[in-house]
Amino acid sequence: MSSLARLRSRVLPTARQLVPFARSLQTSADTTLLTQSIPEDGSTPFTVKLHEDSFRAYNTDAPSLDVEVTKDSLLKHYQTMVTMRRMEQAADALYKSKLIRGFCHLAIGQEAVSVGLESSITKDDMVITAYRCHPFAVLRGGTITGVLGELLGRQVGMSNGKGGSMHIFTPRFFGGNGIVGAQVPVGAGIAFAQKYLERPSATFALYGDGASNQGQVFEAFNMAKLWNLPCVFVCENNKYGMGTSAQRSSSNTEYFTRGDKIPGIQANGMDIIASAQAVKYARDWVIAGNGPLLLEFVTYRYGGHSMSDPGTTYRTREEVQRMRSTQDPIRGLQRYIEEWGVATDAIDKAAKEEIDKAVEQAKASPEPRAEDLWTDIYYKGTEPPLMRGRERDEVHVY
Amino acid sequence: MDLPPALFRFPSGLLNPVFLLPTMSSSPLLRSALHQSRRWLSATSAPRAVTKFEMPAMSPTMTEGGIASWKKREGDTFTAGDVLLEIETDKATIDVEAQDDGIVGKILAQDGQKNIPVGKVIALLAEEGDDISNLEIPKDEPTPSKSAPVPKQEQAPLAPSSPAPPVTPKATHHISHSRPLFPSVSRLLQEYGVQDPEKIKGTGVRGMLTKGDVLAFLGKASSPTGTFKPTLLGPGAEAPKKAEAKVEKPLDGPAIRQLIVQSMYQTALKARAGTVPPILASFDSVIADYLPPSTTRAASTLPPVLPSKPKSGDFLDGLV
Repeated sequence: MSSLARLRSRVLPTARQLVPFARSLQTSADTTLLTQSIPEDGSTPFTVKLHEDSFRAYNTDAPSLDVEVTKDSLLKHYQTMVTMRRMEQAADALYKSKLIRGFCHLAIGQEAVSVGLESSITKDDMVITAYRCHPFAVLRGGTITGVLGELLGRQVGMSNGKGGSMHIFTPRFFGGNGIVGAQVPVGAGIAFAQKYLERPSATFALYGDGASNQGQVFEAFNMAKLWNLPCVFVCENNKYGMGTSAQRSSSNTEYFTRGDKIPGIQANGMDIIASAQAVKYARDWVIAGNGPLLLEFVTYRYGGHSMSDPGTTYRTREEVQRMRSTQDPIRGLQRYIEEWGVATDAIDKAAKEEIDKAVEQAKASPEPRAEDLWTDIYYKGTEPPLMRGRERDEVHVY
Repeated sequence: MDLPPALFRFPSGLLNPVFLLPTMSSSPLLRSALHQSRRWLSATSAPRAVTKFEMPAMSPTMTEGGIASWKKREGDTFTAGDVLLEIETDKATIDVEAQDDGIVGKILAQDGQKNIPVGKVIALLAEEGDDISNLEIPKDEPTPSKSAPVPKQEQAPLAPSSPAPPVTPKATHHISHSRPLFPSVSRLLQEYGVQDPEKIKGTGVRGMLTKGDVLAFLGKASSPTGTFKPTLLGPGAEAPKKAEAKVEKPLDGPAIRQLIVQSMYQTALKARAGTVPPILASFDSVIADYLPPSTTRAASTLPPVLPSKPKSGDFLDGLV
């Protein structure tokens, strides 16, 4: 089996060893090679070798291409990615049946970034991202029912249904932020707090390629480098900032080099093993006290920017289909799992059932009560005596 | 394509097509072959569910749409991302992509059908390998979007509560009133140390205290509105009054004199215009001008001299 994989790459050399374009990695998700035979036991680690184009580095060494994995961990990755994709698809269907209104930014295709991030960090690490946050919210301590309920605007939602997609928080996840690029300085601040409190944890501040040109991002870079903050700035480069392609928006599309003095790593965000390895490297780097690090994931979203964007006006459908068929993270991992004779259909089915159950639970939950209009504005106990409502006559006394 | 020799070392007895083919092929035929192989590997073979494909809302304001054309026929396989059909909304014709792989089981709404409400089932989709020959058309279920507005209506909007007495925090003493207080009003009450603002009658909106009320109460102004006297009737009220007065007034001396002079003038004008000069020329005398000059008639038929223009200034001529 392992020799087979190696042979395959020799049979088709040109297709695989493509020199990547300066702006992105185009390797697919299934080019990892086995360097030893797969052990029978699920928890015994074995080494795999990533494709040599999985990483690029700036002012630092690239992470090692030899990764130790276990069967169980890969199965868990597969199951999590499938569940996250199902959840996003359920949100898509709910939006199309007009049960979710307003904003809905889905991360279909970008599952490897969230699952890879979560797999390599601990529960003490902090994560903050923008509005494409549903998988992060679930993985960082939320529940699927909570996220779907929040999108539907029901009481079971993680913000009681009052916040929506851009307002989901857990103790280790800072949202869910609506303003483009505003979460990066906040993330640097969280890293500052961690350093101040002398906690050995890493903070991951994620942003997209569209937000990478915001001024406050560079301000955050400067302060993080100046004060040696344990912050990893993660750029999710899905090649389109809403409808603008990266090369039309940025003069330098190698986002991992834009930290100036901050070293950077570019990783293939469509390969779960490479993503997990890159996050592990980044976390070790910042916890060792080397200051901030830039981590760029080259990934792709199949859907549009949000539910009001069909996603085909600025790119061809053939491109989307090509990415779906050649670089899908779930399919790539599925290939390895099938090599071991594990039934992925059962995992798919279980994930679908879990999501269907969560959708029913969320739909059954009631909408927030009228009294909840006045709560959660101020921290409990610090409210002013009065709060004015929507009209002049509507005044609430706490 | 040459089979790599290592293939025969594969433990499974059958030639697994997964390894024969280039990995990530996009052709649906190859993908279905992959699916077939996967099913061999799987231990479970649970029956797959048929999913209902409902009319999607392509925009948040869409309530119904029409089917422009189906891109897939019954029995066609599709992969995630393939366009299934084009939906015509009032704004545009939009492609609808499939989320998952599958087969089109049965199309319930055909091309060209219009005014399909959002949420109505338009097709049945099955997963690959399923038996699609006996798909039942489901009964029309009430659309889920209808149930969503109902709970919204049940929760009545928060009725405006009566305004609570606002306690204006002041350093000296608290002024409280059943109505909200304007800053100017509360300042005045503070300055003059009004003990019981409830006694003051409020003439503002909904009985609120105005500054004028307070000043009148304190004796500093004559009334809540001061010297401002709002007129109840507008400028239109004056005009009909004058017209009436004009009509009813009896003719007095100057009016009669006015009347006399007016009539005299009119008559004079008519007289001036009506003075016709007497015709002093006869027919023969006028004709003689045009006839060849003859000496016999010249003397007797001299046209008489017409009178010169009438004497001006004597306008009473016609009266005499």
